[in-house]
Amino acid sequence: MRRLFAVADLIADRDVHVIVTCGTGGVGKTSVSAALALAAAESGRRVALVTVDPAKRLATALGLEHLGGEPQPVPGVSGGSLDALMLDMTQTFDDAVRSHAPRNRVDEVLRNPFYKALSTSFSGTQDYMATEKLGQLYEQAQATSRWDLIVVDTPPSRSALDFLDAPARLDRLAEGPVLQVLAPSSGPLKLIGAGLSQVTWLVSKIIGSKALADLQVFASAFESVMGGFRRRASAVRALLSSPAAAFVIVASPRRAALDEARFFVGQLRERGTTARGVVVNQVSEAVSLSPDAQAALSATPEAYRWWRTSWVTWRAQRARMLTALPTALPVTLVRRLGREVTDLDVVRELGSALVEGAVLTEEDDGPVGDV
Amino acid sequence: MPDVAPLHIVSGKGGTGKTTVALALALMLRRSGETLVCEVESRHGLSEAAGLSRIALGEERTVTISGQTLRMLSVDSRHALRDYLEGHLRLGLAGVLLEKTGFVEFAAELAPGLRDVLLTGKVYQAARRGLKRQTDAVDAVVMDAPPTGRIESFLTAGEALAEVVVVGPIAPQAQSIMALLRADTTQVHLVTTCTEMALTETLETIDALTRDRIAVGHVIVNQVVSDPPALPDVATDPALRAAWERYAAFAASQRPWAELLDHRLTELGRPAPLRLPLLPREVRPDDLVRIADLLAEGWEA
Repeated sequence: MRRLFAVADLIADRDVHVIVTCGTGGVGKTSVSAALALAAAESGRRVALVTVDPAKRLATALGLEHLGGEPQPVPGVSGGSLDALMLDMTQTFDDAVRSHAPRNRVDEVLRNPFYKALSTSFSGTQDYMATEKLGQLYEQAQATSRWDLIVVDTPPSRSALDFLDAPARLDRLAEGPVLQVLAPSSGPLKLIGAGLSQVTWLVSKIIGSKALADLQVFASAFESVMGGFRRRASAVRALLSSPAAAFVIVASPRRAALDEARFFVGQLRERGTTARGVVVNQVSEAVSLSPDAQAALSATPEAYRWWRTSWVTWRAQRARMLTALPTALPVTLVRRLGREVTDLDVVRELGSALVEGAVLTEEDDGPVGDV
Repeated sequence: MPDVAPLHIVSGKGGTGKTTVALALALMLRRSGETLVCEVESRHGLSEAAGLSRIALGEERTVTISGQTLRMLSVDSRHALRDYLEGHLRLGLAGVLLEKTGFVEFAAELAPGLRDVLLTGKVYQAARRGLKRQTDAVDAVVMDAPPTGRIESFLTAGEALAEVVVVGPIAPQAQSIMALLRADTTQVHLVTTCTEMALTETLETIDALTRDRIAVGHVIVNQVVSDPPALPDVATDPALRAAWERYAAFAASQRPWAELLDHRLTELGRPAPLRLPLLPREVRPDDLVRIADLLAEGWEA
């Protein structure tokens, strides 16, 4: 039997101030994050939930009709409190520029076409903005005691790691050749060998000289913003590797999601952090039937086939989980709810399932057949 | 062999099974001629979904899936950029040097649309091999495209790029790519599930692409759950009964969304969606062939 991931203990742990949920898309990460946050709030904690892209009706249930701004209280929560905030990437980025850039350059940066591209489509911007927002909220939580727990639903991405690496990628952008060459005052010029004029000539050949001029304006203005960004990024990095932060992995019983979970556990370990556990969501329901019950059911072939398919599906899922998930990683299973997480009651039902927990067993009930 | 091969672009919300559908569609099209299936995000999703070992980035390979051969290509932005630099700018050594510094890659990342235009450019080249009478010309090209959240910006990257880049050699290339995407040989097929988020995104994407004058082909509803068969009276196990109830609720939860989709597609004068069942296991190569059969039943060219 695998060790049970006791979600109840995690949300009761008063030393944990940040819970980060990670996982690939399509596993119900946003719903699980909302459920964790609600369960923690109703157990008495003062919770802020940072969510990224909830379904419209879940957003409505959480009182999140509008992007950006301040966390809003979620109505209908008893016990502690729950405030929710939907991450608005562009807004967060613009705010960060306003607070970090010298006042006379703010408009220049915000208007620049390359800034617009960076703030909306640079790979990793969303992840970086989630860490930026986490940093802001954590400072606010320290200063005001409005919250004692922040739950962060990380942006959907190829890899859960993108979120963790966002601050480092920002460093690479700052130290990278674009800013180094186009705003050479920012540090050692690494491209002397290639020659500045050759580089700019090449870029203008590809994107045109007007675009090159825009890029140069952007680079020199943005350089001044970088310092502030990076200070926040390193503070968040320190927070995330401290005992105050806990990582929860969300997966589904599909192979790709489980492989991603295992990969992420390894990556966290390399960074000196341990995942608290994995929530395997959307698990198929299975009912074990005695041989007599099976025989009785088999008189109705369609019904028998339906039962057998669900049983074999579950067995295959369990086998995959046992193979893919590291033995030391605590696991809890959440079976597929059978309805979409669209109102607070369903969020609460999911939260209860999480708090209650379901253990991943290793009992052997014969070879797994085919469907 | 057509001059310009029909291009089938497959998109869908993450987790709806668009890669599986792209592969099955390629197998279906293979029955009428040589077919190339490509992916543009360097994730090895195609080879993994087909149960194959990974194919090298940027190299076109012939693969066999359940006895059928397909050409497969994992388009990679790095390779696409290098080919572009070599082919269009004849940079030689200077280009290699600059690529090594990572500078060009970075510029490509920042210039809106440049990367996407380079990626689509590779698919564009493949579709036009017939025009140039190349020996490796194909009869159809299937692209496993980015998910619906990014598909509009991906397909209109050529125009976004044109706003920043007025001159330079990339501008005419971006224009010809937009022309191919808007040609009547190109269709975008959208994969969805019967859930609020996926359906909303699908309907929004149909609107957006129509506005962009890019043709939407089929909507494919994946992971459809049928009502469970009635349990006989002898099945008294309460756990079994409870599981049955929940399964029935799961099937029922899909129904309003399926009806909404049918209704909206009829309103838009579009063909009815194709339906694929939820498979009780990870997709296997023989499942892909079966899905290709299901697609073929409802497919209108």
